[in-house]
Amino acid sequence: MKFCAVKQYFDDENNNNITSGASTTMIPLPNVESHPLAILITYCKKHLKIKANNADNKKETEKEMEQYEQELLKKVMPQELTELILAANYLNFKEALDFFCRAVASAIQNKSIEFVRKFFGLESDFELGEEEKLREEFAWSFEGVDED
Amino acid sequence: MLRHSTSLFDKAYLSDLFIYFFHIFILQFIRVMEDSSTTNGEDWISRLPDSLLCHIFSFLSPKEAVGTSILSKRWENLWTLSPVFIFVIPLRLTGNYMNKVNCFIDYVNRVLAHRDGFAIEKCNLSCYTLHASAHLYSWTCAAIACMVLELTIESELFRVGQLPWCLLTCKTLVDLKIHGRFVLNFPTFICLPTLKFLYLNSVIYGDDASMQKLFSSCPVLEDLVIKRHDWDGVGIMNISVPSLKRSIFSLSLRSIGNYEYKVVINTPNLEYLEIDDYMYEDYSVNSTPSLVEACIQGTCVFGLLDGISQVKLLALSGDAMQSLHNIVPILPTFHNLTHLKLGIDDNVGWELLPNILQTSPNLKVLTLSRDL
Repeated sequence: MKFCAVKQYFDDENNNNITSGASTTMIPLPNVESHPLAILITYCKKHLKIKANNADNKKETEKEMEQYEQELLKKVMPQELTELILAANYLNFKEALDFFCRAVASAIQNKSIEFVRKFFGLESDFELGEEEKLREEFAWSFEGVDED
Repeated sequence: MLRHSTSLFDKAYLSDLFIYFFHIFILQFIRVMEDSSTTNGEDWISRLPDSLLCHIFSFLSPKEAVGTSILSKRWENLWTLSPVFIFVIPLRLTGNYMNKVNCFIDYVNRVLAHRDGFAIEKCNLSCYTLHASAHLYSWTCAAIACMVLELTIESELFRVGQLPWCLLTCKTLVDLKIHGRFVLNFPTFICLPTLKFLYLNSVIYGDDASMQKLFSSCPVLEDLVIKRHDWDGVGIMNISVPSLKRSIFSLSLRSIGNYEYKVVINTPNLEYLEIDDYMYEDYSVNSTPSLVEACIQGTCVFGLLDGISQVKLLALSGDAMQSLHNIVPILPTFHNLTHLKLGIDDNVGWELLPNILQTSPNLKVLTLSRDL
């Protein structure tokens, strides 16, 4: 189910028997900016189109969707991922939320802490020695990371 | 540095100007290239709330999730809120063995304590070392308190362990796997109202009634896998589960003492059955029209074959074919059988191929396979 928040709005409208007679309905989305919304709508349309084209072949649907997702990620800047994740979460669009979260996870998989900090734009706020203590405690989790 | 000149048409001046602007252009270009791989230093990830960061954790391996603890103070304990926990301590550890095991025990205790009842989706507790597996009882209690949906408990097989009663009254469990010599014999009320997948390997049931009680306490069970290798107190296996759709039994134990040995299968909605059994000789199977596929390895007795005679796809191993010698005169007719797969090995069971073909009037596909 895509855009559950919007569907909920329509369901609530019907329950309240509001008949405006207008051909267009305005749905307030105060927490979503236009740019991420546009990307989510395109993603949703593409997903539905691919599903319709490959109605019987689930593997083909998955393969095409993966290709489209790889292309999409090339055009999206890392900072934009925050807005996309927040928008997908607010709109209750599970597939898009999973996709963008997975993209963040893939970007930091097996990378050093320094790379991840740079990627996220984070700065360490640990006291002297605190970070060393944590590194020692979880030494086994820092083995086998990629070169930066 | 630009040299001072009085004329714009001075060649040297123009050349310097060109070099100067080219230098600026290159610097800007480098800055743009760097920016596209980093993020301008802007901390964009911190705008996400804890719940969404945890969602990102669910796509990382447990090792990577733990590694985020040193990113910054906010991240120090964030990873403990991840909904999926895979705690595996292997059989062989290199280096300082006891130190590593103790670190692991502390790590699991810390995670579960920090969780404080906050929901866990999936939890895997695999401990093959004696020292760590002693903690499985308390860790299971903690996972149940966190309303876990999928739980796997694995332990070494040379030690009998206990599991808490709350495991068998958990209202949230959907998928449960237990591998180890754990005693599942509770005289009191047990109920697993949401359990759909159950895998039991080397579990100790205590007696026949205990096993039957366990399965009848799972009203929506769909998948059941039972593996029995050593004596566990059960002589009569009674599987009466109306909701069951798929079941796999692997029985390689030897009969002992004065027990009655029988398998009773009463599953009106069963679609798939796989049996690998060299022990039981008395089968009572309520034939179900819903059965689509069956795979028989080990001894195949009349009661079993008769019970699955409505099947559409059947696979028989070489050993199973061999055991059919005893029941050739009374082979049931397989009216719905369209696909038959037979295991080829050194046994002479395949001599019975003509008999089997005679009792399968609607057969379309016959496959002979080396491995079954």
